[in-house]
Amino acid sequence: MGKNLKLKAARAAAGLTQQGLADAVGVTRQTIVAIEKGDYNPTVKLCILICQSLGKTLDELFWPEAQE
Amino acid sequence: MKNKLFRCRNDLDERQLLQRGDVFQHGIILFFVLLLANAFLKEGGIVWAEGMWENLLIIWSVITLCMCEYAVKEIYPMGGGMTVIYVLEGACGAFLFIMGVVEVSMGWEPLALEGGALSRTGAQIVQGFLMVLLLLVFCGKKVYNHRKETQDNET
Repeated sequence: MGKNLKLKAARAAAGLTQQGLADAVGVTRQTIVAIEKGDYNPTVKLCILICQSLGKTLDELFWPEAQE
Repeated sequence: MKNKLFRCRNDLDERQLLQRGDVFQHGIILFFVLLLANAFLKEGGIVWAEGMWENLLIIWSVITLCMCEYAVKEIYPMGGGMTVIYVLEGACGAFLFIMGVVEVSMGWEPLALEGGALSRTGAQIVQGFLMVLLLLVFCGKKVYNHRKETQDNET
């Protein structure tokens, strides 16, 4: 699984650190790091919490890029 | 939640819960392997540690593996209380290790028995080493995280 650059960009645009986003959704910073690096697939519940915290939709943050 | 010294035991996020299961699995596998190896050695008449220390060292080996994995994967079921546990273990381990080395070097106690089995003192040195190893892994992970955090926390 590749890196989730959309999540990282959305988090930066919202002015949140990884710790800040982690606190907002109730997980550890390491979990946010793992999601952004593509090392961990979050549950739908966590995806929704992240989207709500960043004001984005699931498609915008977690839908995979179309492969050419 | 972050200010409590000892959090609720189940206060782990979903990723930590999954990884905790992996840690337990590795610990159980190691436990079975060591027990089986110990059984075969006993069957062959080989005693590798004095008295109950064979069993104690097997248990400590499994605990060390699990707690090292906890530290590396940053699974802290008791929050800040885990730091206290790691530091206490490291301190006790250092004491055991140093006392054991002093006893052996001064000739007060033997490192191994006549048949080659680890003496009580030798086993305590090994246990002390395992406990210190826990603290070293914990501290090493903290240092690694500190160096990575400034790089990862860019906004």
